[in-house]
Amino acid sequence: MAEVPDIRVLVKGFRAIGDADIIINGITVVAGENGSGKSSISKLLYFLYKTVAGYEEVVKRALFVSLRDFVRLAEIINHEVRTYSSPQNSNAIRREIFELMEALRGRNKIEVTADKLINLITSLETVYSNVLSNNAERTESKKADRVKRILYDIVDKKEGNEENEEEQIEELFAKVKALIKDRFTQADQAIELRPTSVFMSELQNIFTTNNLPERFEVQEYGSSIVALDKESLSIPYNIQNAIYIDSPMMFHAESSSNVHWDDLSELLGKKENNVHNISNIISNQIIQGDIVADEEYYSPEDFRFKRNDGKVFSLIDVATGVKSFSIIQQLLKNGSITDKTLMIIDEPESHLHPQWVIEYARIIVMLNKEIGCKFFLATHNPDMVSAIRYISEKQETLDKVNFYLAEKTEEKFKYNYTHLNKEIDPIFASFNIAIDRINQYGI
Amino acid sequence: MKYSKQATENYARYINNEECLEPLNQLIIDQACDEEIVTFNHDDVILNMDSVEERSADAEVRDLNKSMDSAFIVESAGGNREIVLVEYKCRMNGIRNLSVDELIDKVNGSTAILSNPPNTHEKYYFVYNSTIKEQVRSKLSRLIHRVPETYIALNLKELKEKFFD
Repeated sequence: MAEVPDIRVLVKGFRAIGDADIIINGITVVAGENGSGKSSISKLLYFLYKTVAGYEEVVKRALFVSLRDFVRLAEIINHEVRTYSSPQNSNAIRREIFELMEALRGRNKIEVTADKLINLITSLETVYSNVLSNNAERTESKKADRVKRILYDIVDKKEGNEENEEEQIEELFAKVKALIKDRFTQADQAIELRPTSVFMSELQNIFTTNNLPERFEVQEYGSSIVALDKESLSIPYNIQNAIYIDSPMMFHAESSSNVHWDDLSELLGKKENNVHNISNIISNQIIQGDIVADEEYYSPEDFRFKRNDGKVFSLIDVATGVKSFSIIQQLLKNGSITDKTLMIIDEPESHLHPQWVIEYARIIVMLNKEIGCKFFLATHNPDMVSAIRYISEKQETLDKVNFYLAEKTEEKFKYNYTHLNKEIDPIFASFNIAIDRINQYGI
Repeated sequence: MKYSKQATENYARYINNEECLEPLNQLIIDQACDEEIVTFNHDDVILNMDSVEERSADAEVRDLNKSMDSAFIVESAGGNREIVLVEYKCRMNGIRNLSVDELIDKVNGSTAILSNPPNTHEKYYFVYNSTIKEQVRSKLSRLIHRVPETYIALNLKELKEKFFD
C-alpha cells in the first residue's frame, strides 16, 4: 500500500493563507512571519476537530442558544401576569423557568426536552388567556399587549388585524409550540446526518466573518473526512480530541471571549490522577514542582504549584514558564492526552528561557513518541525548530516529523506553505534575516 | 576583489610551497562538496593549506597545528591583493558537531604560517552544504562573544559568486 499521510489538511484562500497542503503524521512544525496565517490554520484545525469529535454537543449547544428566546418569553409572561395566577403556581413556574435557563446556559445538567418546554408554554398560555378573557384593567391590558407583540416577534409574523383576539392568541401560541418542536426535530436530524453546515456556522462565529476558506479539506489515510463542499462530516478516527494552547496567560483570564481558553480551562479541571513518566520528568527535572488542583475546582485560579521543597504557591503567582509546563503536566495527569489527541500549540516557546525552550521541545518529542499524540506547532524560534528536528532524530521519530515554511506570494499579504519535509535550513534562512538586520542597524 | 590564478601561483612560489598548489575542483571533490553542481574553471588552483602546514611543521620540527583547507589570492581592479582562507565543511550534516574552538584554531594555525605581503583578507570563509548553512550562520551569530564576526558561513555557490564569477 502506498504511503499516505495519517492526516492531510488542505486550505486555500482564507485570510493570509494562499495555499497550504499540510501533513500531520506525528509532529508538524510551521514557521513564517507574523500575519502569514499560522494561527488561522491552528484555529481551523481546532474548531474542526472540536466540532466533529463533539458533534452532538455542538448541535445541542446551538439548539440551546436558539431556545433561550422561548424561555425568556415564558419568564416575561409569568412575570407580567403573575397577579392572575396563584402565588404558589407563579413561584413554581418561576423556579422551573430558572432551572431551564440555567440548563440552556450549560450551568446545570437538567434534561431539556421539547415536551418540557411545550408544557411550560401551555401552562402560561392558560394564565395569559385568563387575563384577556377577564377584561383586565388598562395597565394589565398594556402588559398583555406587550406579550402579544413578543409572540408575534418570536413566530416572525406581522401583527394582524384579526377580529377575534382569542383565536389570534391561540394561533400564536400554537406556532410557538410548533417552532419549539421544529427546533428539536432539526437538531435530531443534524445529529443523525452530521451536515457540514453546522461546522461552517461554527467557523463563521469563531472568525466573525461570513468569508469561509475557498477550500478547506481534511483527509484521513487519503480519504476526505471533512470538506466544506461535502454535505456531511465523517467521524474521524485518528484524532478524537484536540487541545489548543496559545498562551499560558489563559490562567489569568477568569472568563474570556476566547472560546479555546474556556475549553482548555474546562479540560484542565477534569479530575483524575494518572502517574506518567513524562509528568515526573517535568516535575523533577524541569519545573522542580508539581501542579495540584483544589478539591473544589471552578477555574484555573484554583490550581496550586507545590515546589519540591514543600512550599506551595498559587499557580497564578508563579513564573509564566512554569505555567506552560504545568498545563502539559495537568493534561497528562487527568488523562486528556492520548494517542488520539491533536495538540495544537501556537508559539510554544513563548515566555520560556532558551534552556526551557529545548526542554519543552524535548517533552513534545517524548509525548509524541511515548503516547503517540500528534502535534501542530507554529513557531518563530530557531531553538524550537532545531530541537524538534534533532531530538526527534535521536529518538528515531523523525520520519513522522514535517516542517513547513509560509512564504510570500506575488499577491500582497498572501502566503503559500512550502513543505520542507525534514529540511530546516530554509526556516533558518528566514530567521537569519534578523542577523542581517542587526548588522544593518548595529555597529 | 576576485580570484587571481597568476597571483596565487606567484604567492606559492614566494613562500616556497609551489608543490602545495592543486586544482580547486580536486580539493572540492576531496572535501566531499558535491551537494550542488558548482564547478570552477578546470585550471583554477589554490594552495592546499594542510600541505603547507605539514611542510612547515616538518621544517620547524614541531607538532601539526590545525589549518584551513585552502588559500588563494584575490585582486582588486586597482591591483590590491589579499589572501583568502577557506575551510570546507561539506561532510557535516548537522550542527551538533560544530566546534567553534576548532574554527578559531584553524584560522590561527593558517594565518601564523603565511607570510606577508599580501595581507590576509579580513574575513574567513567556511563552506557548508546548503542544507545546514543557515543553521550554522544562526549558531555563529549567537556565539558572537566567542566567534569573531569575521567568520562567514556560506555555501559553495556563494563562494563561487563572491570570488570566482
